[in-house]
Amino acid sequence: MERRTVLITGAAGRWGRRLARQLAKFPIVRVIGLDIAPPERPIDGVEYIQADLRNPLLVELLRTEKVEGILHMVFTSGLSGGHGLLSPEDAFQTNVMGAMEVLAAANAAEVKQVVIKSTTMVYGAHVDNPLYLHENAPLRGTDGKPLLRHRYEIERFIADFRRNHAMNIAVLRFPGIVGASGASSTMRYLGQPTPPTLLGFDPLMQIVHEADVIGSLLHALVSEANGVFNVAADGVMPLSQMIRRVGRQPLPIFHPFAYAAERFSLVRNNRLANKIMPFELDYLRFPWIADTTAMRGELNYEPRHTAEEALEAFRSSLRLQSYSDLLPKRKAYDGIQAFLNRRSQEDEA
Amino acid sequence: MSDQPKKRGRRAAGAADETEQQIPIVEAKAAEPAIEAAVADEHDVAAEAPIEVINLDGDLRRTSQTRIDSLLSALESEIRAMPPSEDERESAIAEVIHLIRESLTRWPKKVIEMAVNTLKANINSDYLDADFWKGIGLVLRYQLDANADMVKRRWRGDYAVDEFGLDYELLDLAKPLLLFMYKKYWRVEAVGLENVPDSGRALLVCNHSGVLPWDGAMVGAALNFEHEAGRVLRNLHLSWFSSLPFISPLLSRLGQVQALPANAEALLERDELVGVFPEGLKGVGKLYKDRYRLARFGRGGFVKVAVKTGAPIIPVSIIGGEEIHPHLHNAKGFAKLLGFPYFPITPTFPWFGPLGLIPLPTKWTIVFGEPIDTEQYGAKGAEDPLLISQLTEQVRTTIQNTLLDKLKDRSNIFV
Repeated sequence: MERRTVLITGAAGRWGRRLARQLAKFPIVRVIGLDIAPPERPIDGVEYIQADLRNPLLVELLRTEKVEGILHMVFTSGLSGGHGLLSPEDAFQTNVMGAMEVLAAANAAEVKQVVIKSTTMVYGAHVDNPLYLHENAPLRGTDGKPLLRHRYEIERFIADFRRNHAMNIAVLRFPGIVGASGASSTMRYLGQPTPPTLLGFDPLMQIVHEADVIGSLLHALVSEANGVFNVAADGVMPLSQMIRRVGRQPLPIFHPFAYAAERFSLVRNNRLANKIMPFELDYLRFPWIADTTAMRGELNYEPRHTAEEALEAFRSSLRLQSYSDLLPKRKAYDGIQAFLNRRSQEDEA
Repeated sequence: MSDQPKKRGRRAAGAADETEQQIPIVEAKAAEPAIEAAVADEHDVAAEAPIEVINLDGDLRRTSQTRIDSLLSALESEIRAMPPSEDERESAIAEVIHLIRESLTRWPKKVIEMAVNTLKANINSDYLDADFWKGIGLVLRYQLDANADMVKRRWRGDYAVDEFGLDYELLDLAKPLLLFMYKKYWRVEAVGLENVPDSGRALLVCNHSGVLPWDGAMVGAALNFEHEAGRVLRNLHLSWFSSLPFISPLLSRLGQVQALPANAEALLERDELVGVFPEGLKGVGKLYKDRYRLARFGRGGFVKVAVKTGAPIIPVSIIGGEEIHPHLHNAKGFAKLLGFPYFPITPTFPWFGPLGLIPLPTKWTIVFGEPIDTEQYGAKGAEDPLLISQLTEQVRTTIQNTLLDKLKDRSNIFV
């Protein structure tokens, strides 16, 4: 049986690592992980290449290894991660130019399938947004925060690229990602003691469980999906309800003050402000809910978790946050117990 | 739509069942001797201490305690004198006396007197059934618990909104006000409710007026309170409201949706009842002299959506709504300054401040017209500009003519 090769770019990153772990479980798949940084904990069965994505040899790699699918997961905030601290220009190079070069190389090497993760924030939050945005809605993501502009540039490039090339490209747009790991801008926002909101505004919000992010990306790879798809959990709810569901209480701020503070922090590029409010304020004011009809129809993906489940998972992880020092002990205890149980069962047998 | 209302409905029905079991319906048996005894007793008590002398300024403590005791004991003996109709009658009577004593002694003395007298007047009706009081207690308890529970749940975020943001719990809270405005204030008369289907999609096209959009709320109230299926109307509101703090989330939680073709289409696809006011801003900000003259019906976008989704169009004519705030003059300069679409000068606003926002208690009539079928044109019909403009004109004419017919019959705007 011939194994099929999948390349994961950004394999040491948050999403790349998890995708690699899932994919490595299938004996039929051979996983190559590409990242500029070495993986913290290498995963069994994954071959790692530590290299810059933007290298002319990428085409050679794809050709000689007969790569059939690429999961392009490189997207850096420029603030942390394998790249270390990056200047905005370098971040742009990595995010936007990197995506362009991967697509070009994939096309040249006749890779069958490329899967790219994007965000529903590219639609932008506007007062005249319909409540449910279809995939073909205009991309009006405001260009205040540079990272959103990178996503927007990538999407624009892919839309152009599609017109002239027949390669399968699946772009999955996700709303805020919530789950037990606690590592996403949405979770950092929701997990604050009192997440700031805008006084008198309570838009409907949408989220997705992190397991469904992984699940849908893999599904798109395996089912050779082509096109843009919104992927989100069922169940929209007002922002304040989301905050309450994770056991926090919203802190409403009179919106002209909040906008003034935002402008100030943009000028100063304030890290703290970015931590408190990872979104532009418009995203807490106007709706930006994506329609998931195509996810169920054309993509044929059924999310495994609802919004409530995702928030509950996050909430229970928050409850244990202050006991993080005790968790390894607990794990060790459980591990030994499991081993002993197994041994005694074997003895009986 | 979420299954929230169904669940809540079931729960309420369960509670009703419980209370009904608790209150066996007692046939009002005419027990002649008892009534005579009651009448006699009442005379006795009255003779002992006339009620007129009791006033709050007088020395209540001295006069009343004995009086209350005598009143209560008289009541007790009366209840005991009632003919036993069932086997457990004895214990029931003891219970009812206990209940009355316990609850009455906590009240001010004057109230006790009144209560005792009321009780005596109703001595032979179901009110003195212990189970009836138990039932009342149960209902009150349930209500209190439910209210406390609701606050707790909402604090935790444990409630549900539907796909378009409608929160049925908040809608229930708004209902008493709507009911008051509907029944008592504007005495709305709804005609032709049978033209609105019990289930499935429909697009209600209404005339708009009144400075503040009360008309949408009243059409919704008519459908919710008086329609057999108790339907929930999703009105499409001005985009401007979505940019306003407090108003934007409030409208959304009460089931209103921003007026965009995509939203109307999505709602109709989900078989909702959608209310539109194609006159839009030109309608709601209409001057008093232009009342009941329909403004331009937008660009016919609503017809396009109806044809596309095959939803029947129901023309709705609202009479009475156009006079609630006589809009004498639109102060455009002020409006521009404040960023409002219009700034109305009425006989009461802005002269009386917020009091000027109280509408006139006109008499309303809402006429739901014959549905106009759009399914025959197919989804392709939406691309036919001639068809769209014809249908738009047909709807507009229907509403205008109905308005004229009703105005002809109306003698006074308040009755």
